[in-house]
Amino acid sequence: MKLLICSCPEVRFDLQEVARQLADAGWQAHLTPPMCTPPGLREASTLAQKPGEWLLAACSSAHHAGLFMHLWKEPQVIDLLGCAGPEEAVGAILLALEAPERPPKATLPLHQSVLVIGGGVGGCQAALDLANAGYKVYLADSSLSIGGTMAQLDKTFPTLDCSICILGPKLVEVSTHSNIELLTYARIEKISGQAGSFSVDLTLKPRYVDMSKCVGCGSCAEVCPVIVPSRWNLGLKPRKCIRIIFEQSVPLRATIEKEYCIDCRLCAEACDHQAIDLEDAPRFLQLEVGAIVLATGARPFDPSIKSEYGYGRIPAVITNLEYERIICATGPTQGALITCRGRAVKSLAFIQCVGSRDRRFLPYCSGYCCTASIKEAMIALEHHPEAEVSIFYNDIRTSGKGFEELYRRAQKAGIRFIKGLPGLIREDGAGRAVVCYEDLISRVRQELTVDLAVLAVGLKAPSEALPFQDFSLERDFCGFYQSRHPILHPLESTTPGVFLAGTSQGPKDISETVCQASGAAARVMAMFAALRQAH
Amino acid sequence: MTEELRLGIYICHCGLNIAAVIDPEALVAQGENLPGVVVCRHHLYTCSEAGQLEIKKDIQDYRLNRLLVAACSPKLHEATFRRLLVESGLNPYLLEMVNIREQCSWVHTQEPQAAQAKALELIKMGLAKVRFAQPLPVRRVPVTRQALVIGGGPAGLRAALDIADAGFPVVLVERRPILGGMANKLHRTFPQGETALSLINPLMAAVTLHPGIRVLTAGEVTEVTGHLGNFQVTVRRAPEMVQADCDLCGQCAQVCPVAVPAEMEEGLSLRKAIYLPSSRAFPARYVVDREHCDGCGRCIQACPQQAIDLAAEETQETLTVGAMVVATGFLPFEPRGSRYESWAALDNVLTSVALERLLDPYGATAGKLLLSGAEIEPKDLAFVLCVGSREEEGNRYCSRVCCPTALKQALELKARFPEVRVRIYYRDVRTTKKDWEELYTRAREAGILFIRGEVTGISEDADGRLVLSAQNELFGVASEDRLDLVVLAVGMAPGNGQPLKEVLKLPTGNDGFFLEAHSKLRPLETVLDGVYLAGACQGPKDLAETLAQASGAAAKVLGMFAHEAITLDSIICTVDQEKCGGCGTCLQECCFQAVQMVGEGKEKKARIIEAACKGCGACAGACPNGAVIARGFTDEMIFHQIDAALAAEPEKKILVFCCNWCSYAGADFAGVSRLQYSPAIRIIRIMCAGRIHPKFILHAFKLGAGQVLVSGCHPPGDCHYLSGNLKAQARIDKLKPRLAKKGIDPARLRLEWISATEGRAFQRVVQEMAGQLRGAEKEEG
Repeated sequence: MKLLICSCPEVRFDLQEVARQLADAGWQAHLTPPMCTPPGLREASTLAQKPGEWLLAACSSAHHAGLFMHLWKEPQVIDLLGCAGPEEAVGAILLALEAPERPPKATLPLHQSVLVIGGGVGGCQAALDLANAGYKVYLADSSLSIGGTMAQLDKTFPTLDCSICILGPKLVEVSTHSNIELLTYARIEKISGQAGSFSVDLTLKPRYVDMSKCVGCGSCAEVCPVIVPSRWNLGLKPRKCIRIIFEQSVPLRATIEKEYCIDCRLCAEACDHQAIDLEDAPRFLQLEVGAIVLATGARPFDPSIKSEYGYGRIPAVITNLEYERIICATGPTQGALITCRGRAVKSLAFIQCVGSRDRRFLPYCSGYCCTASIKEAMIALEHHPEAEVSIFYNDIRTSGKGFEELYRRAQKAGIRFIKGLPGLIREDGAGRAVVCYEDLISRVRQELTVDLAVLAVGLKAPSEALPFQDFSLERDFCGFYQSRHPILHPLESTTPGVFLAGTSQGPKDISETVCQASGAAARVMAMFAALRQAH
Repeated sequence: MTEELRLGIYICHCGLNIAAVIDPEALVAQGENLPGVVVCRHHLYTCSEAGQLEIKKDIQDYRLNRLLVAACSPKLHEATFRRLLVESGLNPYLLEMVNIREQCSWVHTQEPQAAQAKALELIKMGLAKVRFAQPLPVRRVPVTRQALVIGGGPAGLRAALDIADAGFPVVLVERRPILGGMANKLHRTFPQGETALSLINPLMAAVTLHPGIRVLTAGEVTEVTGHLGNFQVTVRRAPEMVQADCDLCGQCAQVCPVAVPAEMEEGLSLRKAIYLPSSRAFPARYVVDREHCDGCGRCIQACPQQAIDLAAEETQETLTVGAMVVATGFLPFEPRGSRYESWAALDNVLTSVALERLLDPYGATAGKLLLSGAEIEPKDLAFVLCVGSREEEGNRYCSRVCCPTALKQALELKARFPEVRVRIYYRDVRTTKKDWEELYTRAREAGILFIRGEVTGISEDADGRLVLSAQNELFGVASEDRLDLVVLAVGMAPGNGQPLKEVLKLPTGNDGFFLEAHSKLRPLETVLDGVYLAGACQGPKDLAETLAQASGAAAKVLGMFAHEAITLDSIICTVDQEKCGGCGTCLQECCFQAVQMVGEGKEKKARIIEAACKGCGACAGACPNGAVIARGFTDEMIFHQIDAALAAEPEKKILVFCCNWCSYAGADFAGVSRLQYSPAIRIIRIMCAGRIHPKFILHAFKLGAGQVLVSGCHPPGDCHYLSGNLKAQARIDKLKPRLAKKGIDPARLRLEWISATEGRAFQRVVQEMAGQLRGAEKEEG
């Protein structure tokens, strides 16, 4: 066994010292210049010609981009970046040198199919890219429909394009793609195995409606006597116990929420297609897949714990997602911008950084909220051109493509930007929100009374954990899935074969999510190509 | 047409986007009674599954054979509804999209009555056209499963590796003599502070060693022909004056008498006319700077390997590739020639890029803070943010990476010189990524001072110290600071891909960066099928985003390469052999050698080579006999659209012919931006302005049209069919005197160039025309 040590510039300890200690232990090491620079590569290429087995001490596989594979067939690599100091490096190298028997690789069957978890725009994009490349894809979503948060939005920034209009067709494309199997209302029970060979147990929850018979006509909901709040509309709109979750849902099928069903069977009578099946039971599935793409998204921060803003107490204080539903044509008010008391909204305040950039809650910037609020403010003006709209901010962070132009347009349109985050929001006698703040530019303490105060809430990591059996995915300091490397491998989790797309890895806007999802698909394909070669 | 016409009309509410201004139900009531209409419905979102299911059911139940969808722009959903037709067993071209959103509800928000009337007329125009829609034959072509990646920076490297690792050959073309792009100039990266070398060099080395990747450095793409699946690409390479035998001994450079500032080191050091572009990048080989070499030949003598040949010539080769990834990156903002010129000229004022070079142990000063020959230990230094970003004039956008870059550099300097006082002048600190805010926090904890406000001037005092004046926005006071080093955090500028923009006809946005097909859902695609974008050539991005996007672009290529053959657009031209007079005008008009004359004498006829035809219709725009059938945009379709548009009050109408690529998209952009204009506008879409035969314009005026506008892509280079715009111009120039002879004021005919992002220009032009029309009316009245 021959030993090569790469003088990696990222290694913070003395590699000469490592070589000396190894020499003392009787092992002569070749210390090359960094192998990823021309002199280092030249030396390594010459050494690689020499017969015999080589042990490399270099950077981790997350860094070297498969470089060594082109010089040595399946080289054994000691990760110097993972070593705290020379002693640890020497120890790791000696262990490998003196026990050169490499554990035989388990040869599990290679399943060239993919499970995408989460059917938001990221999951859909990853599924489509993989399916278009010929891979079988299972797309699982816990909800009744795919579409995720984007389906709930009214418009997208910076072009103020209609959200569901651009998303809807993509959802239809997913559901009609011959390589995609859609598994909605699904619960993942167990994930085990390894890259190339995962086994996934999942349950499809009963809908009490036969998916093959239902045509999505909605006549069942018309006759259903049980009215409950629609969670999809954030509780702002009533719905029936049997319902299609939203008008553009995919699949377009009705579902009974059994906890509320009074078993009156009016729906069964109303259904022309005999699709109602009150005896429906959960179905269990076991999938064999080679890769998993996690596109489970982020969750909005719950602003009620930031109690100074009165969310939950003051009806005139709402979140930005609630606002999106209110201004959307399919929302609780058919798109009319009115208060909960039914009055037209003449004045609005948008409050930025709710939860975000706050060490008590989310110590990071959520990225999307500044531009989203500006967009929402512009839409308010579309609804009521005379409305007084103010945005309370800390920094305006419109740093994506075309975002700064939107910011300028908003300033020109008369939207007030006030530097300073409110300290308190209270309610006045008329049910309006009184925003108490200090304007940091004029350094005056003021109050602003508005019909509606919209909280731009941050995005937080999902707390629920997926049921991985033989491994777990590392999370970062704020709970999002940790990527294998923040710059080089943002799309891979810390477990080989499990990839990340969209906001499960950190806050992102839609186009970033879409880019990432396509990127994750490419990484899956590259992994399959490598595994095919290995087999 | 022998079969009975069975039309279905679907009018979309698009939530409130259409329905807030136009009443779809009223349109349905009117649409139902139009001739040939079997079914007419409205839907909240026609593109949703429910909407599509309804149409599919109607196609079966009512045996529909033509479809009209009045909704958003065809640019958005033509593909969606064409797919629906295919799934329903119909030919995808039996569809017409009527744009009642971008061209009606969004631009006539304040005039709902006029919008309602216009929507109906637009539907009638669509009907007039779709009546003549014919099933078009499917064009399947084999895919060449080799990809071209243009640009060898991080994005190009990542895309090339991802495609090649999946098993498909890649050719990577880089304009400079070395790979690595701007990353070669970076010392450390944020947020973790790893060296750029340790991140990017392995990619570079892996690309160099990869058996599936051919690297062509010092190469430029000079010509692209063909289409998705089969592009023919010409690559020109600078002469290889130093051959592969070069062993980097450097003796050539020692004897070279010519010294110029080194661009790799931001001019902080000199290099020779024969030089090693970078000590750490690949390929490692000396190159000759042809611009500065005086041909003295001393290097030839000095080279022990005899590797130098100053007489080497440019080479050129043509490749066939199925898809392309454009990864041409960015250029750092250049303070010279801007309002920052006088600041940047001062000795101790650096750009952030130059600072990277000074901090880098591989840089000109081996990592020492050497300025004007002396090593300095700064006591007071400042960063000025937003230099060349968020400007009123110039680059109006935020460059996204300068805030974290400045924080990273400030922290590194603070770590190196613990006593140094660091100030950062900012407008907003934009650390928008989850792990960037931490940098901001760390910087504040390290005692770095953040001053919100505008820097008004930097000058030098008598002692040679820098004086920085600023307006502190939060304290409302002006300040003056004495400093020994100022770093200008320069933004990212477009322009690296400028030559390529012209070769590929790839549109750029107002900001100068390449334009994606859709800002939200198609950020990696371009308007050109088979051409994808990766990295900062599309807009400012950090390394992580760049690499993720590059992988995404690779996924698009891999998706295409998974298939042996692909379907091309069927919109091309054919010649009606009976009508053809054999004059050969079309042969003259076609830029693509797609016309061929067959037979002799009276039997001489034009034929179109389908594989070469691009479908612009320039031949049809010139044919004296109306013999060319421009599929999807035939003469009879356009005549009937004109008739329908001018059926009522023609004198009050402005007929607009918009080319598909630039002007129609420009009108859409006006719609998306809610730019209001006169409801008198009636747009007819054609593939290219060159398609407009004078007979259409004459016909419109014969019917009494108030004004006519022909709008195409900006000359010379924007036309997607090389010179269709110029052909349109020539035709219109010739037509104007004819109009005058006929007693039609030639001023009623206009030709304008409007690009895809010039919504405002579109609004201005049509508003001017509407103004003139009103003026003319008043005169007559």
